[in-house]
Amino acid sequence: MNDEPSPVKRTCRFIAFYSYKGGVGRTLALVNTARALMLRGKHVVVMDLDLGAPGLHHFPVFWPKGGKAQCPRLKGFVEYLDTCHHQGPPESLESFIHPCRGKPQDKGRAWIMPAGLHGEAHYLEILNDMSWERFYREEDGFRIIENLRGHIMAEFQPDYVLMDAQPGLSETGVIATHQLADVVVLIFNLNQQNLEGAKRIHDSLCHLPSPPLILLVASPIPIVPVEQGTPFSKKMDWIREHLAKAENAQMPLLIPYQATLAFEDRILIDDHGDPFLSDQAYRRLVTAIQKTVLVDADIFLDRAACCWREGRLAEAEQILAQGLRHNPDHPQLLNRLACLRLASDLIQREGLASAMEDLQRALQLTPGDYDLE
Amino acid sequence: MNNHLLEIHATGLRHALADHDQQSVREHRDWLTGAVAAALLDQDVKAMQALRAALVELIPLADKYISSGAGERWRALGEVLQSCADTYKPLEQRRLAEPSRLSGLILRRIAKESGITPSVLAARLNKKRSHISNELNALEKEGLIYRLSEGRNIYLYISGTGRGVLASFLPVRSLDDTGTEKYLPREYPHVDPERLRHASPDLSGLVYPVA
Repeated sequence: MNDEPSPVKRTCRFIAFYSYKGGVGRTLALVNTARALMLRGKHVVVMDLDLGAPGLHHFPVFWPKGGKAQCPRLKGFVEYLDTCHHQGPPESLESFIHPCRGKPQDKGRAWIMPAGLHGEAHYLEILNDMSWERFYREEDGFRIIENLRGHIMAEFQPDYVLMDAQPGLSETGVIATHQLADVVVLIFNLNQQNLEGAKRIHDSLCHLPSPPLILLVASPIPIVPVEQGTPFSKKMDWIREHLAKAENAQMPLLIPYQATLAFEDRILIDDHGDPFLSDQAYRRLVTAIQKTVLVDADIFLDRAACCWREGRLAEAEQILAQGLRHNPDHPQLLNRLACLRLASDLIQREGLASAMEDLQRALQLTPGDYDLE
Repeated sequence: MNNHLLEIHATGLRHALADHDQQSVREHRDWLTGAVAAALLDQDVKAMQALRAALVELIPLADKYISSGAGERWRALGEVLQSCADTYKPLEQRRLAEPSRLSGLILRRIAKESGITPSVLAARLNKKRSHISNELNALEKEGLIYRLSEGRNIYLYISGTGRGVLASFLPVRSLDDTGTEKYLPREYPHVDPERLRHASPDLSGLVYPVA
């Protein structure tokens, strides 16, 4: 008999952060999302696919562990493609994806796949030589990218892979949004050129055989009147009509304009010292992502608890079972499901009122307070 | 190389070996050794082939008449000549064309953009023009590139030799019977077959779906 536990297969989701135009805070949204997820105990891989103007390396929290206190230059996506082209897929990704130093309070881990050794002659040479059309048509490009996706999941077992997609109608942008992504966070300002570009990508994504889910984020938005008939309201009407397939087309997320961010790259999730800066918008974005991808145990626990409190036990059981399919090793999901099944038996024997009282008590318990054995 | 002289010394050595004339053996052997060295240094393929032909005849005689292993040494020398003559890619040319060297990157860029100017080339590689001028001189000296001037402008082109050397650095691609390049099949162990099934059948269409 084999006593070794079988490897746990967690569901991983690939999230592409895309904007048609630059300067709308796409990278900041990604960085804040990554930080919030790390603080919530999630394992995250961030990929810098903005090959023309990479930016993730500007944030020290994503620098590799034990490195020098300066901006490092590391191999990444471009060198990975070059290796695949000349030698085939590598056995390990450790040369291209690097563990991040993070922060002491992080409960989850993070890794970064930089764009590559940008600025160096060899990096530019690879990009100059790259024919994406040939890459896909003749050189197994689709399989190479799919293999990278599977390899990241196998080697790092992350909960989320966040991709900073190249803006505009670029090939690498399309790789992130049209091939790799399960969810595309479509970020735009409310001027017409941004909205037209967002519509173009939205329509293109909807024509894919397996389209990703789309989350709309308007950013950065100044504080303006929002009543019916105002310019803001008209823009929202336009979005509801033209970006209708998005998950939150009825009410896109808003990231307010904050003047300080025009001068420096600050991660608001980590910035607790400034009372005038709020990270609430980014926290809402993270929650929206978690609710959209629907794989995180937290979301299933919350939903099950709602049903439980309202006495809809069968529905709660279904939600917990669904959560366990994505998180087979999650102790809280297991405990809640076991409690629920015990309680169902109890209700049949003792009556509903007594069982509900016990259930309410069970909801207050934390996993360490009781033992399933 | 003077083929007449080669004939004289090769024949002279043959006779000297048969006659056990050690003095003549040394004289002819020294001349031939010097000729081999000169051919290798000059990368003179024709001289290498001529010397190789002469050595093929001399090696059995050396085996028969000299007991100190001279035949073995000449055999090794013949193989060196053969291999250098066969590759047609002198070592310095290959060294300059290495993909990891700046000169190799320059050579590839010139091959891609025929007629590129040094300023544009420097910009493409994110280097200063002064930084690449030495590399251009070295490439030109080895016959891998050439420059054409038009007024004050200089345009860079890859030579036939340069293309030949670059062709020897194509480990992934191979030439099929029709002479066109093809991509060798690879293993992709982490691909999820389920995702491939749902992928767009027109893979190239993925790249420009928004155009």
